[in-house]
Amino acid sequence: IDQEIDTTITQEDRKKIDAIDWLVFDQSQRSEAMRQANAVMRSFIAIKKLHAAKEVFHKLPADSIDVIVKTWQYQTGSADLPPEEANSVREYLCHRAYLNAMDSFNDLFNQYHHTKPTKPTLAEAASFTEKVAHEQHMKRYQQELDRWRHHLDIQTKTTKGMIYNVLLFADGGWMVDQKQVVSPDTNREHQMGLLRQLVLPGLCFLLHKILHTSGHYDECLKIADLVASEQHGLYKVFRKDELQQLLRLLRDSSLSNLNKNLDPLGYPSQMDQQPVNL
Amino acid sequence: LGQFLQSKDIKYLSWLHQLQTSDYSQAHESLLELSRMETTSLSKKKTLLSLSKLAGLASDDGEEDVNITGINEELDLITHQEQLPAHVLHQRGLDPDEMEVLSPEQLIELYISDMSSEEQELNFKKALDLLQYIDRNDPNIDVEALRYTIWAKAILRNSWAVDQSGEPIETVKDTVFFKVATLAYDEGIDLREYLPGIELLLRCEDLGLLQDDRNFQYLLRVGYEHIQQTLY
Repeated sequence: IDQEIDTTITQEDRKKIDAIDWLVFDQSQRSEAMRQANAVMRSFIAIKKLHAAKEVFHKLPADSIDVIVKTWQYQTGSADLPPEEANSVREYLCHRAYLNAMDSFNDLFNQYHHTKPTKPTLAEAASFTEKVAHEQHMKRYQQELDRWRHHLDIQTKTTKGMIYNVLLFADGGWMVDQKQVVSPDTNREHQMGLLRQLVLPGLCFLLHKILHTSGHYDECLKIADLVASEQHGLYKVFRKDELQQLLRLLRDSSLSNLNKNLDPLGYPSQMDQQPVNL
Repeated sequence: LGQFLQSKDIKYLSWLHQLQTSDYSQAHESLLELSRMETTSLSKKKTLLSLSKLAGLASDDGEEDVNITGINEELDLITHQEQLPAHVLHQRGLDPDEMEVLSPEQLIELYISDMSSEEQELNFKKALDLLQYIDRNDPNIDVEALRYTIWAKAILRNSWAVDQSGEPIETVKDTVFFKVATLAYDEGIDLREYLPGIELLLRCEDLGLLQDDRNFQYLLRVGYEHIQQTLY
């Protein structure tokens, strides 16, 4: 899975990130600040510089949407943002959903690999005292392992939810504008389309990895429902080789289902069959 | 192994082997066949169709396009079943998470039996939409008759008594019948073909007592005229 993240931030990147500072001083410029921040985040996400994208995200104060709506209301008396602004706010929310999901995944990844308790070992020629001590260690290890599993379960659930938030982004999907604009920024629209192709298949693979690793093989197969659905149209952002890769991953989950004596989709098997190893 | 997997009992595993050997069009076919045989579990049928669609899209020859249109129709039908109001499912003792596969006729029946939803017109619109999924070659089902039955049942949701204001058009506009027509019109459907013929509709036995109700006949004609003037 190609999820390697580029954590470097060059001088050039730093300039782009810090430039946002100049735009957030004046509240009346907040919508311009958001537009710029969105553009910079798009370019960072496109090259997998998620750390840099996150820094940009945090340059915008958390109340920015509120400020933009209020400014507009103050200027025009209307609470409905004009199409460009509405699209920009929606894009900002898309960035937030994605960055949150990736953060959550990184936490999960670290938790999985770095906090797993290590099993105590016992030398072959251990003395009686050592054996007693080992028994104690094993007991504590078991407790720690249970606690670790429990936390992992919770983190898995959270991460899963956040990934679904991106994949099922409401009203038309992630990085898809809702409002028609008179003179569209074709460059921006092109970039957003590319980001969908770049990010969404990878997120589906990530979702599969999480579900498969945590043994939710039946839910793995449901990824097929999600990707094939016309309502969300996710399959359209998959290249042919990516679809093939997805099917291979789903096949792995099917085999795991069979090994649990379930049918390939994870339902109770109608036939009494032995576990199959293909 | 491929041959072994073709034998009947083990057919439900063959697609796994076909995916393994990168034979995506065969996997697409196998999964499609399995989905056709699946009647006991709606969600399972959905996943088989989805997998088949993905395998079809992943294959190199473009001959699966026809099938994929068919798969999308099947998935549409499944969505109709998934969208049945919870209280309707509950009444029939159906568990939304473990439903069997219902036929389009059954779905129509369920949609028009729903008495408690707020927007009745949505149910009737869906029932009419579902007509397209019925197999027209099935000698046991008269699709046209069913269409008239749906409209008649929609009519029966209102009393068709003129209210105090005495404005026939206002009474008509308030009916489920009229709201279904408006809904279809808003979706860009040509009402000339969509609406039932008024004479045939009046002869439809499902109307019961309303059939001979002069006042109703008058109001329905007013309604048709109004629709002709405003929605055609």
